[in-house]
Amino acid sequence: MTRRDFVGRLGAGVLALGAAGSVARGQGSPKVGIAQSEHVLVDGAVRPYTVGEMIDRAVMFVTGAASADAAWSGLFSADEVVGIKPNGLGGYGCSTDPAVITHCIQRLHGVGVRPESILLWEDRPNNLDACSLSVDEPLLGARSHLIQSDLTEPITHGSLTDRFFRPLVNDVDAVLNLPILKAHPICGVTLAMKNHYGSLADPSAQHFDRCNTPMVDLADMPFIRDKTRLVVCDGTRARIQGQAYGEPEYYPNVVMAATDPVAHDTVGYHIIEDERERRGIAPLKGSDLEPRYIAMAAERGLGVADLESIDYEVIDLA
Amino acid sequence: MQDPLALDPIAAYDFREGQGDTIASLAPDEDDSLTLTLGDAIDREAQPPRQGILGPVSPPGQGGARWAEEGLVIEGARVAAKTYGPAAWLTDTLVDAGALSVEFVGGPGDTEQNGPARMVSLSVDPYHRNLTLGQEADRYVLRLRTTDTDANGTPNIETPPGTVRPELQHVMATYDGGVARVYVDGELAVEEDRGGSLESWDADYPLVIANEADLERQWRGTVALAAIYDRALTNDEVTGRADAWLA
Repeated sequence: MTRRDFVGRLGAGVLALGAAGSVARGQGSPKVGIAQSEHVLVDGAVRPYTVGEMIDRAVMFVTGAASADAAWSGLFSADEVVGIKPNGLGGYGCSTDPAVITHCIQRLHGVGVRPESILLWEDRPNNLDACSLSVDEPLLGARSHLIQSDLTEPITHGSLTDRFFRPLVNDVDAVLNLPILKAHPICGVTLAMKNHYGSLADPSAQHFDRCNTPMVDLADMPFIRDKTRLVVCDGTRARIQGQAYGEPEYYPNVVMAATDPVAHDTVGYHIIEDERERRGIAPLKGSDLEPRYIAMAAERGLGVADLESIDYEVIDLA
Repeated sequence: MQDPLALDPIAAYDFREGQGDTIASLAPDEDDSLTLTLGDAIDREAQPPRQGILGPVSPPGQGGARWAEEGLVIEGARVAAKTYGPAAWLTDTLVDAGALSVEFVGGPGDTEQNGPARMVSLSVDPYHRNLTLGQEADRYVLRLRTTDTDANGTPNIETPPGTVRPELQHVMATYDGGVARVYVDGELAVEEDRGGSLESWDADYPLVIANEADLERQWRGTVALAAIYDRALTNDEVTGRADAWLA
């Protein structure tokens, strides 16, 4: 399925809203579903059943579908190769939870995507490990990869030149981005767009301009821009200041879903800012840590960064 | 015997004549780590919160607390009297003792607040603590972490329904290394075995009065006194303390 095919399906009324980028081109407000449950964590651990329900409700809101099956079937097709990018940089306490990954894979199976057509990747063994993933043990038939095992030649787009995980560039039809909700000591926040720093070979080289310019060029890479189908953010736990790894310091108890990664990052950024304000921590906005890349991505046409123009809703599962 | 130092606590805070935004411990503070701060909570006009993505947003303790003759009156949200950093010396002393008592004198603002709403807490967030004395609606709750419990100090040890009343009450929790007890107004309200030891305690946690460290488990009411002892006070001692306060 091509992106054009997918957008065409949206036009046929399968979904209320569609693929990343399409919204930014004037087709209406992007939706961000924020499912919240005070019961998702037990002693700091994610309850799989509850987080699964949260994912479903958030994705249903985004798509406008009446059921989780319909929502996922509207986003992915059985004949596609689906690439999943979790985020394990935060360590065991603050990475994409295995229950989130597992539920998403199960939903893809429900669409009919073959287990061997689902692949996951991270850039370091520790990051895979933090998500309970292993290159040696497929998760529900889906194989996990370390990107260094299969890299492209250098690809340049704007300010950014790097080598990328080859299957993302060549084989994957649709990307399912599974970030987490974190602050970042260089670029302010690390959400969906920043998660793809784990899809390239030399992330440390892409931290110039506080990541802002390279981040937008990365999000604008055709194989990321056009293939990103859905963002599901594990916001059960979060960090709101300091390093992008370590123990969580905030428990929003949410899962966010969006098809527009810029709108997603805008909402996530505001959640972090809100909590910083509650705790009396200086705002990111107006500081060196303001994540300017979000607005820059919107200017590039990659999505919507104006909170007032985003249709977000908190879905309280109590 | 209303003297806060009468039974040699290792930390004691008398809120009845408080002022300003700090409360120093009356007991010797071995490493100056036990002074409590109130931030901007005092004597400021409460600002209406703005609506954030996940709920109302207001800076910590803006308004919502004031000093009165009977103690610190807390009516707002996100107010805490909290050590600036970890209460490491306090934690280490209690771990070495293997026993403790926590005394709280105050008047709950209502019998509906829950969470439990933290009255005295040695903890870092809603899921990690050494101990918490709190209020769950009309019951008092003790969470006491040992090597036999989880990191949250649960299961809870709870007093019977109706033991919390919106009036001045004297609450004392004791632990003698094997049995935890909670007394209300000098009467034993609950007693449970709690196995294990305090060796699993974390010295990085702050001491917090009237809230959780993340300011999300507000206790509302009037705080008159909080004290911590490095031994389990006896029944007679607890009764004596309560009588002095409630006479």
